[in-house]
Amino acid sequence: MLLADIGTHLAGSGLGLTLGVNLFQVPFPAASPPAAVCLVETPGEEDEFGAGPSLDLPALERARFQVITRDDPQNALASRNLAEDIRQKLNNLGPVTLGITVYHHVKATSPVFYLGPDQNERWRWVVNFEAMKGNG
Amino acid sequence: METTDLGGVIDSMRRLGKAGPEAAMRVLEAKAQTVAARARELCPDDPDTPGTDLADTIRATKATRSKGGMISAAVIAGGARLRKRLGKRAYNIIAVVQHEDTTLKHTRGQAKFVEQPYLQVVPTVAGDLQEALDQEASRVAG
Repeated sequence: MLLADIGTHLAGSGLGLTLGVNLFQVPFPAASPPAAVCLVETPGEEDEFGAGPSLDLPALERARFQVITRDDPQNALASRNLAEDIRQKLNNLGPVTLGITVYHHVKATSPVFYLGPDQNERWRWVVNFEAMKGNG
Repeated sequence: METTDLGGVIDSMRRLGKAGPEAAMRVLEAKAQTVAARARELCPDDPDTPGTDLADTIRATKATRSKGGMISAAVIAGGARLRKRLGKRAYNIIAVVQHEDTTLKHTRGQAKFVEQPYLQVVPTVAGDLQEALDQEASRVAG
C-alpha cells in the first residue's frame, strides 16, 4: 500500500510525525489537530507489464501522491519548512524496500507551493510526488 | 509537465527537414486538444462554489517551435478570463486551488483535472508522432 509505506517511512524519519496523530493517510480527518500532514493518492500513469501470463501483476507501477501540510497562520513558516523537510526525505529516494514493496525511485514532481487556507483559515503547503514501484 | 522520452522519433523528424517539425506540431496540437477536452469534462463544476465557470476557460494553445527546435503545446486553465467573474484577488489562483486541492469535495468533477488526462495521453504521443512522420516520409518519397 503506497500511502501506508510512505507514511511509515515519514513517521520514522525524525520529523516529529506520528501516524494517526498528526500524519494521516487520508484527507485531514475532522478531529485532526491544526498542525498536521496528510497524504493523498493522485492520478498516476499506466502500469508496465512483463512477458508473464494473463493477469500477471505489473512489473512496474507509476503511482503519484500528494503531501499537504497545514497549521495555524502564526505557524505558517514552520508548516512550510516541514513540507520542505518532507520533500527532502522523499525526493530521489530509492531503490529501497518500504514494507514489502520495492520502490525503485520516488521523486518530487513539484517544489513546495502554497495552496491557500482551508475552511478554518489554516495555511496549507503542498508537494507532489511520483513513485516508481514494484507491485504491492 | 514535459514529455522528453521520444527516442528515435526525434531522429526521424530531423531527417524530414522542415516537414518533420510541422508534422510533429500537428500531432502535439491534437494531443493538447484531447487533453483540454477531457480536462473540461473532469473540471470541478460545483454550483455552490465560485469555480463554477473554470471549465469554460480550459483551452489548448497552438503548437510552437522555439529557435532551439523545441516544439511545445500547452493546456491552460483559468487566467484573466475569470477576472470579471471572480475579481482581482481570486481569478489568478482559482485554477491552482481547484487543480491541486485534493481535500475539496466536489459534487461534479475532481482535482488534477488536467494532470490526469495528460498522463493518459502521454504514452500515445511517441507512437502517433512516429506514425505521422512515417506518413510524411511516404508522401515526400512518393
